[in-house]
Amino acid sequence: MTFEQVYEQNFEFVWRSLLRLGVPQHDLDDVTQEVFLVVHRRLQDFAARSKVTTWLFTICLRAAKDRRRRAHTRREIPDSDGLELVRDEGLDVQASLERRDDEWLFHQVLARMDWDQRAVFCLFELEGMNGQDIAEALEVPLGTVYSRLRLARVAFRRGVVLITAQRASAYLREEPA
Amino acid sequence: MREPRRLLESASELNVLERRLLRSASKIAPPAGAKRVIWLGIAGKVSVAAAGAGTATYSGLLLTVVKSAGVGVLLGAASIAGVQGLGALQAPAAKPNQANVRVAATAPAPPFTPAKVPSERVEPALASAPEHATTSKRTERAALASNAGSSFARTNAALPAAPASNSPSNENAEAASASLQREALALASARARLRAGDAAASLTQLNALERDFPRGLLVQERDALTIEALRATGQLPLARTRAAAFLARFPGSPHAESARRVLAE
Repeated sequence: MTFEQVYEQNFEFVWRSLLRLGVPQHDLDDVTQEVFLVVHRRLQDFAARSKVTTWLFTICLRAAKDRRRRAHTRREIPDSDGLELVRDEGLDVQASLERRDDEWLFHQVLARMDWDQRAVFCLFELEGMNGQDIAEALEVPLGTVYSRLRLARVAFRRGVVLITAQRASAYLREEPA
Repeated sequence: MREPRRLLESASELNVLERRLLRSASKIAPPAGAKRVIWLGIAGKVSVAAAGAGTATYSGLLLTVVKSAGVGVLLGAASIAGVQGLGALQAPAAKPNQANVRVAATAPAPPFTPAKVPSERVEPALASAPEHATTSKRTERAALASNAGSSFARTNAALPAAPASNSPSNENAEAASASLQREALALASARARLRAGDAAASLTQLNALERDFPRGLLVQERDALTIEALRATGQLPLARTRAAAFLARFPGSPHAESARRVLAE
């Protein structure tokens, strides 16, 4: 598999993974680039013992962790509104707003999730990866993957309710009696 | 070990809002043009690295430099991004020249051979303009009204989403959801009081919350807020004790950092 093929077939996966691992949107291009530079350096060593996506996610994890560490060292203040996700969906403004709102809510929920649980949740629920591949990517036992998934699901539900309750509460305060 | 079913594949495990959020998240895609821009950025960096720090000053003569250095690249997009300068990327207006110059491969990394700039999927994409932070009130209301899971936004009473059927498991899920919504509303109210400067009232409410929901799902949020309220009411030693307990129990929590800050005070 050539580097170009890896890029062509997995660019979106890497981009999405980094986003879900908490890399802020303003850093996404840079960190995605870092990931593929690592891929370019190490592609020869990748012996296809695991799936490409598993390998790529391992690199994404390290890159996202590095980015978090750098942000922490710089004492970067996280954006309290989370990710700024906007889709350009042509003329259907209402649909676009709703989708945008859903994406924003989801990432608010994700931002409240424990980091390890978040990785499992996204890989399993959104990328459709199986437990064994996730265990390999995260270098943890399969049982740990399932346990994190269970906790992540609870955290997801909790986060959805919490975020919507916060918004509802703000709405009710602003709404004239 | 049996693989669990994915939430989106299971009809009864998600309420309407949860399902919608998961669906929207699974469709997320990069902004139009990102794939090409990043590709060119990579190409530029690989070219520069390959040209080596010892070569002459980097200039628009990259093609010549790289050729004479004998670097294994097929210079297409790579040369263009490289010539544009070190990291000064611009969104490519046109497909780069695919020409080009094949030279002997000497670099240890796999040859960087962008025969073409990878194609972009024509999909709805994320753009960079932030709008959520400034979402208008109307938009906010429309969004709240459209969220089936936020019925309490309109009624102030925690109502679960309509069940798909009346099976016992659905009823249990419904009861759990209603309980969670009550807990969340009480927590939101305690937070609002704290933000409004009434830390004592907030603390009273948080204590009640702890009593009413001893095994609540929002325990992390409740504890984090309690620590904050204790600190705001001048009970710093107690806040520290609670912060230490919080960290011991939830070391990976998103609230762990604020607990650590209280401990460090």
